[in-house]
Amino acid sequence: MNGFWFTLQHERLHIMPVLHERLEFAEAVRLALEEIRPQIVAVELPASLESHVLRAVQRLPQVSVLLYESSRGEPLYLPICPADPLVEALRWAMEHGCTACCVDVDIDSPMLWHEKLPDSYAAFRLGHREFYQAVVAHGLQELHPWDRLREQGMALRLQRLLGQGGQVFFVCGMAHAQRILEDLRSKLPEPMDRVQRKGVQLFHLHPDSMVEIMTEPPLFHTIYEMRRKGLPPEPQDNALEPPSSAQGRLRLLHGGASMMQDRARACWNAAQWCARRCHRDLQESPAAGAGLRELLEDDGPQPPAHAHKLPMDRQKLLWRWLQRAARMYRYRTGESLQPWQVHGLMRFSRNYALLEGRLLPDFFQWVASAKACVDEDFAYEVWELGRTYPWQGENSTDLPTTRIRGEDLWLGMRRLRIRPRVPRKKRPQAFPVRQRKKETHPGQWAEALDGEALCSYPPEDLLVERFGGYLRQKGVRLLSEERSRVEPFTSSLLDGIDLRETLRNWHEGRIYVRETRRVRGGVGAVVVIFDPDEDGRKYPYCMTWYGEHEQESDMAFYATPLGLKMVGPGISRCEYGGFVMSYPPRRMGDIWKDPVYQVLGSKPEVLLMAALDYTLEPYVVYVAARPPRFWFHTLAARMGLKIVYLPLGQFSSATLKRLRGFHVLSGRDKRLIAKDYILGV
Amino acid sequence: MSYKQVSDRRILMEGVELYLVHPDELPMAWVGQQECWKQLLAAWLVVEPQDIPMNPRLVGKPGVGKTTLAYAAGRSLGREVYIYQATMDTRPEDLLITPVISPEAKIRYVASPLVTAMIRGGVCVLDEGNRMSEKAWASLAPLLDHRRYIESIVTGLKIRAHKDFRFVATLNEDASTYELPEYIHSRLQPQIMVDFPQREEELRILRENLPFCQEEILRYVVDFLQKAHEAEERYTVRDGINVARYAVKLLRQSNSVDAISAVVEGMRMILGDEATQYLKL
Repeated sequence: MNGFWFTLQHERLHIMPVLHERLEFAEAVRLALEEIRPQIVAVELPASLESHVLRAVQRLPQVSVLLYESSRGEPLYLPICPADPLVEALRWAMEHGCTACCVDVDIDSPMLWHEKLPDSYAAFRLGHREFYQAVVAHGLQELHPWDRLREQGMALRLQRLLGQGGQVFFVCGMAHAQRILEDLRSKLPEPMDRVQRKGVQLFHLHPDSMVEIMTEPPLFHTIYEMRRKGLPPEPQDNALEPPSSAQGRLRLLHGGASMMQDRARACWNAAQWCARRCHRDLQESPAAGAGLRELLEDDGPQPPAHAHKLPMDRQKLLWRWLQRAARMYRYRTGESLQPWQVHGLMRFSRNYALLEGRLLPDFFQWVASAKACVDEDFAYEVWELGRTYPWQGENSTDLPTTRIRGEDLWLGMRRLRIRPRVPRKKRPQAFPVRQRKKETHPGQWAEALDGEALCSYPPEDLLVERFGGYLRQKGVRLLSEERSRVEPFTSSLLDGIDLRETLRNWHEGRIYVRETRRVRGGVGAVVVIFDPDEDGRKYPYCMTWYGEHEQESDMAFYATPLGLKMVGPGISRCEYGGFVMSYPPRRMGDIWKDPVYQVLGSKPEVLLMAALDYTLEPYVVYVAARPPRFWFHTLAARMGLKIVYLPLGQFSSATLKRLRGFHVLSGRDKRLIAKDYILGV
Repeated sequence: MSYKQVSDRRILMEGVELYLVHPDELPMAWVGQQECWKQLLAAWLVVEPQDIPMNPRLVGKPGVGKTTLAYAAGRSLGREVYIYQATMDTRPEDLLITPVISPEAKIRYVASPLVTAMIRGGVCVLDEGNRMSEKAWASLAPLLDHRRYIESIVTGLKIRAHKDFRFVATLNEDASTYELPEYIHSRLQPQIMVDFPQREEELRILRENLPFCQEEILRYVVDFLQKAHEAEERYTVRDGINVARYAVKLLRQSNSVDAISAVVEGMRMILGDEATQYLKL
């Protein structure tokens, strides 16, 4: 017996007390069975369901669900998932030719109540023996009369199994183990339960229902499944790595067929990668001096060959999940997680879990924390990877498929004393990410992007226009502040008392007043440079757009290639490298084809030159990480203009991120459907 | 932090006499959306002496109950809650310590609700935080990171926050707001989104606010709000409360009006004719 798993023993019987449906205990069962190698395996599931349960276990890794009704007509269901200690015990027995049986008493009395047990991760940290002893020492909750009947029934059946000879391995909930052990020593009455149950139906579970009915995230089941018989291979291809622009165009020519497959393959690769790096490794320590940014990129050392025999560390699993989600997020949005975001996410998710009495966050809290500390796009990546379970197709050849809705379930109740669950009317907390539509066949969306009649998405136009308006106001305000003047009060209060100056000179006994001098004219054009694209390759898509109505500015921009990221039929997501906005509209020529601008050194300079040429007001606002060359200031002065430079860092990163991503629609008809595919504007 | 208590609302700190303001006492209770509540408390949780609380920001459409949530969560901690309403004109000194001229022609230093909360270990709700300028936010930068202090230029004081001090900002999304710079954005973590409530929750909120209102009126109003949320209209539960309150008054005034007519009339008067298209008759 090692420190990770623990059993109570009676003659040739090993009783393993577990918490139901928890990864740590499924691992413990698997490792214990490999070491004990019993001849008979029994579990705390109703004997009347045995044949159905065993059939469902045989279907693994496809997940099934048993549905039936109690005699009072209440629907009951039982999911059969890989990372469940009871399921693992039965599965191991069937794979090794042992006797697998369910010994619980079918009392037909749905009972639901909370068991106030510690987080199963504590068992990983403390050791199972210490965890169990601590639970017993603190006392299990009040015993229900039905439980005694069930325990005595299970003890009687275990006595009979012991009579068959050989080692017997029994898995049951922690609440029962000690009493069953005691019952084994006495003579027990025959339980009065039903031997057979009619109307039990076995269904293939629809993949969309998995998140709703699994206690653990589907990704954990996937990783558990991958590690059951050895470590999965290291993923070789880099699906979801950003393709170069040339590759992007090539993909588009081929109808973008590989994009959807890339997504599924990326999740599969990410799960394999996580599965190889989630074991307990006491030797491993983060690189000295590494910051969070480096740790996010760190793959860690290659795992030893026996890593699958080492218990999985849930905390490490969450970290690996985060690392891979961050990579997908970078691909999809072009944004990297900032160290302060990771730091905040870790602290917040820890506190959130603690509030509900857990050591580590559950799936919902993990996604909600990702949304709260980063953004909805990142939360979506976390959610998408978390629901990865590659073996579950929408249909199955051997069973009908069922969908189970969250509203039918008991979501919110974490641990149950008996396995078959009773649906309960309780509104589940919906995951804080919105579902996104998918292609019906690979390349469907790219086919609709024919390059003709391209147009923008109006809510994004509003956003950019509003930001442009804000920059114009800010530019004027900045110039006004530069020109304001403070002087002692004589005959006029001017624009009001300057309290700070008055207090500073309190000893003089004079009042100081401020005069704000308004600037004449306003800001005519606005240039925003997110990325100067110094090597000229990242943002090859250059375009000039005219305002569609009197309230909209003309706009010219350079951006990431059209068609590289398709989000809907004929809807491509691009990212601005920079843009210029000029008001009033319908005056700007195509600046990217204007030979006068060809002599300029870079795209930001073309935009700034266009701003100076097309502005009707004396000021041009230029927002960038670095100010423009001095030559431009001289040129602007000669033209009777002034460039107001604002550093990019002054603006909210969230706003910049929202502005930077935009969508190009292939035809105005796409505007009607775009809102179903474009989120977060 | 050392200071001498002169009277209930006056303290002496490093020789400077500071006047403190009174906490807010409001009849606000939070109903429904328990996850938002938990997230706010999680952000404020401190797990060990070296730990410091986070400074969350509540975002969402106007009227969804951000201020109510912040106030009620603060009160649930058993602490004094101070609400500071940020405006376009809020300047750094307004946010920290304001000098006012007393009747004796002397300067009196008055601590803002925020500084009072810092000194007394209360909760400060900075309401509609993005209505104030970056300059005002800049003065809060050291308070919102691990340093947890503010520097008052006017008094020359550096004031450290009490260990029980908690901060939350509510932010609105409309055209009249300022952009928060990156260094403030990174300090206002996490961002808790307060969304429209579900049907049952909305009904409970209305009942809580209008315990004297007929159930029939409340149901009409909730039906309207739910349809409006589906259509992504901006009508909020605050609008619903106003409509229902007006409908109750109409009913009391005239016996000839039935509930639905009163709700329709309330909707016209408060939200305009276009709102009635979402009313299920």
